[in-house]
Amino acid sequence: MNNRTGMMVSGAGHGALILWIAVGGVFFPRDRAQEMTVTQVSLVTSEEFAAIEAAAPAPSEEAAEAEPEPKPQPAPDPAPAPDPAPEPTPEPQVTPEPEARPEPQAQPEPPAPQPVPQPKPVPVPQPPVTKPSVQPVPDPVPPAQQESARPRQRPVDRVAAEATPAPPPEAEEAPVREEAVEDAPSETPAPVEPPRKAAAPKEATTRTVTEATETAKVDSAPAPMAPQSSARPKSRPKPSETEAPETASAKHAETAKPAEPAKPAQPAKPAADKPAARSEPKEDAVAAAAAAAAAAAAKAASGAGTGGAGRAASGPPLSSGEVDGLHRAISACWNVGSASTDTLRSVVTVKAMMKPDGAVESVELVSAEGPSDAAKRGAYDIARRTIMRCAKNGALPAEKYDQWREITMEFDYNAMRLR
Amino acid sequence: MRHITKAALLIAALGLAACNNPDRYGQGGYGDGTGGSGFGAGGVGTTGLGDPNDPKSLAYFQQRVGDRVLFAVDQHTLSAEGRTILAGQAQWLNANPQYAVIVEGHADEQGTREYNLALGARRASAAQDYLISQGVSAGRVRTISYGKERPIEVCSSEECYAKNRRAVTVLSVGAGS
Amino acid sequence: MTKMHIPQPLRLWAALLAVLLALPVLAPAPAQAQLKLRFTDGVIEPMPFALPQFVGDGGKVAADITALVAQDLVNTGLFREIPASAHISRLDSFDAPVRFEDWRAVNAQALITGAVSAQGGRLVVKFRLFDVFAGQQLGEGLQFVGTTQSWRRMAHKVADAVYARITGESGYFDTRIVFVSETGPKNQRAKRLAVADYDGANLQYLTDSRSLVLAPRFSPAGDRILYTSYESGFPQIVLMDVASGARRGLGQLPGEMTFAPRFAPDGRTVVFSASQGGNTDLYRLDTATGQTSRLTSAPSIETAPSFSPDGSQITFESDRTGASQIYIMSAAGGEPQRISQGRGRYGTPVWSPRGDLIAFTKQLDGRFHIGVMRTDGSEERLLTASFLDEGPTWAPNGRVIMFTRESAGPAGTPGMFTVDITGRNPPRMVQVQGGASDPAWSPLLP
Repeated sequence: MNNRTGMMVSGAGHGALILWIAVGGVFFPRDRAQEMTVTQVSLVTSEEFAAIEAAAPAPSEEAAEAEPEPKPQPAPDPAPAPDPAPEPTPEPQVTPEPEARPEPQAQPEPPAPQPVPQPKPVPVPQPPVTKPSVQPVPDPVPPAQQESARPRQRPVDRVAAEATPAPPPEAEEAPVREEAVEDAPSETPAPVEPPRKAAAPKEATTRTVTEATETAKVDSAPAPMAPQSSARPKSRPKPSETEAPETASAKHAETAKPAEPAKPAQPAKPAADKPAARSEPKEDAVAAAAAAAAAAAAKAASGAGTGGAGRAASGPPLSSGEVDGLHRAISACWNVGSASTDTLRSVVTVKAMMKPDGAVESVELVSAEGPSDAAKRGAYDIARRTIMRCAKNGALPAEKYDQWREITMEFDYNAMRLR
Repeated sequence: MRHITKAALLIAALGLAACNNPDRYGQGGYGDGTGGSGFGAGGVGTTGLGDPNDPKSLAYFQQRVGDRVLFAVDQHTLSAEGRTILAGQAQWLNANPQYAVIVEGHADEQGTREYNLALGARRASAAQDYLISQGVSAGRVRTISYGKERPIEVCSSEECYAKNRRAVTVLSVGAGS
Repeated sequence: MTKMHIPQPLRLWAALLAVLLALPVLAPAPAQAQLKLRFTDGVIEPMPFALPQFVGDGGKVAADITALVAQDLVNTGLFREIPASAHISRLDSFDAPVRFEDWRAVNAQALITGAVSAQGGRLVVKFRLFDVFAGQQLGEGLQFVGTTQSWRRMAHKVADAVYARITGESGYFDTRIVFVSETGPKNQRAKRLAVADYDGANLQYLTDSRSLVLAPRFSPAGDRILYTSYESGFPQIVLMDVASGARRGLGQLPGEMTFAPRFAPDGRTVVFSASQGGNTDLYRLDTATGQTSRLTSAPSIETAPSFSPDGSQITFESDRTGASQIYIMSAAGGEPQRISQGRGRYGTPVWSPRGDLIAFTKQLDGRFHIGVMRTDGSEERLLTASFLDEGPTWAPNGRVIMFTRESAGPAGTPGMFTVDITGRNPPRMVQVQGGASDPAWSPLLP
């Protein structure tokens, strides 16, 4: 390296290299562009998000079954599409678009086989490059199998969901109260942790610790950084977030036996521990736990309802403890670790059709808000996966099945964004 | 650093430096540090530089007059000491009109590449302006910035940084004269 | 056509009204009460996926492709691979029905199956992606056909498709980077331009090391490169055609040095810095006509310009108020607006390809950081911290940033690192031979 010979060798090498580059083409142009082709293996009749999404907010006759039709992308894409010309590939293209289009696109746009415009920047004649060959590969998945889990388009009765009888008065204020909880880092609800731990392996984090915040003395910067460095405790499950048909009532509490061992007893929190705005059912954690225990006991004992008059079919109202259990189970599995940044600006509402054993029959989209279709679909996919994976962990009492045959669930990803 | 400078000055003395290519770091990027810049510098060494005691020699300019001025962090204003050195350079240049100079501006590694290039340009320009103010004709002085690309000291502490924040006046034969 | 039958709409309205009036009555019926849950509090962890080795007659290349797909996904920090040793199901055929329960049992949330066949220098790679717990395929399967040598690209394309389908944003694996390869000690650095795959593989040099080269940038289409070269003796912007290797100097102004070039989204306009008489300002140049116009004229340093993705604005750094800060101005020039507000010095702002964020280098209390902020300067987040981090470049999907990190002291060498803009995962080094700095990310390859 230090001697003349080395220089010459190096020089010669580089010269040769440059020559080769000049002749051989290094990068996109030429053969690289042509050395690979992409084709679709098969068209799966799986959910076409765009169709569902478009239809959901305003129930329409349009069947979601409708085969995936390429939705014209709204593409609110501020990004440059430096390479507006489509693919040079003579095949229906899917994912790999050359355009430096960072915008998440509604991924699997079923490409209707269509004549594709000519390659443009590509210098062209690719020599011994392989020819694209399309071999449609049959889909191994039985259609029926997909049917069950797949969101179906049906008229969604959102109004009914809102009009639940006697919603807790503070239901509307839930988000506000959540802030209150965040501000009190000392309050880490013990009962919540164990289930979370179990479901969420060690990688799970509750907040983002960047290298910058870790090495810390450093920053100091402006206010916006602050949230990052303040530990954010898991907020406890909030019964108030749920619009249970009826909140835990005193009558259940009084029939309650001491909490069963099986049920994670929720230790009573000192009142001072809680934000003032706490809802009433929450204030009495013991009562809630007891109610849950009572319900569980009742279920174990008789399987029938508590013998109430007209309510035998649906059993006693769900207790907040029961609902909490389900809420916890699902929260613990709601993993946004693979969500796009746009998905983390989305909110989806889905309806889960439950089986009596607590498993999930199907999950369908009710509504979604987000920056893009891809973002909303991502949010929906995660929500569906979460419910299908974990709803059973918080199975509700079978004798009250009528009350939870359908559960509407809203996932607000915004809250997870800047953890 | 000495080696680099020597090699470069040598080359200049031998008339090898292209007048329009002031990049004395170029052409030998691989090996100039150890004197093996591809021109067999070792053999010709000291004779080219001349005797530091000879006021007309390159070595005299480099060592006695001083070929560089240093700057404070992020600054490009000349210190009193810097002005003294530059005045000496101007005097020497006025006495040796066959030389032209290229003033190199350098920065320490604390800063982005782009900013340091701009900062180096400021420093070189500050030195250039002072030389001109001391009677050196503007046509004899050119500037170049290396930003933080060519440190002479490699430790990552202020003692080295202080030596890297510099403007170096490099002699070349003929250019501009 | 719609106005013909007036009674019809009226009837509809009446019906609608009736329904609305009936609702409040129906809703309270206890049996219809519906459970509604709201979630705001989840977990953040890598999504576990299973990727059994691709089947087929691909042999070693099938194993290599499988491993590379997994590596791409795992390196994002968004995914975690369930080791093959834990798998219950074995995959014998690409088209065999998937036993979802076996994959659920190992807690794989996504399953990627694939096949590779190799015949006469040609590779055919196909894959399918499944949502294990939903028990269904995600998106359609894809097939790639290419040459045997291009196996890495094919693996990257599989990974891109999987990433895109799961996250909803496009991938960035089938991309290239151009950068400066560095050798030698700090005071005798030899630098040359190089390109490589985004993961450092397939390294190729574009120049020799005889003259100093700095900060290469891709054109929007990735077919040309701008960089600063000392080849002429003075720092000067050079435009290189990647395919032919042809080079030409750009924007040479008498007595000036030019540097810090960057393309506009139109691929034709270039913005750069020029220093004259020690003062550095911004200029723009039409590469087709050679016409140059000056964008700033302040006695301060204006440098490191970068276009917004729509080409209408330019962000840059300036020390007009003292320590360098980040500014935005119209792409035609005009009064700049300062956006960075924190303590410390800000530099090298780079607009995200999505337009919503600006990545930057920040110097604070003796350390360097790569960070992002919104284009109004809000929501500043520092993603890294080290002795020297600088020069961010965006992945084409706007999710990941690559930058230069150099270690301290005489033995210090630069390397290229990537970091996710959530800052969730520690920066990861791109493996290339020797030192490397100043990366610029290409768009996704065709």
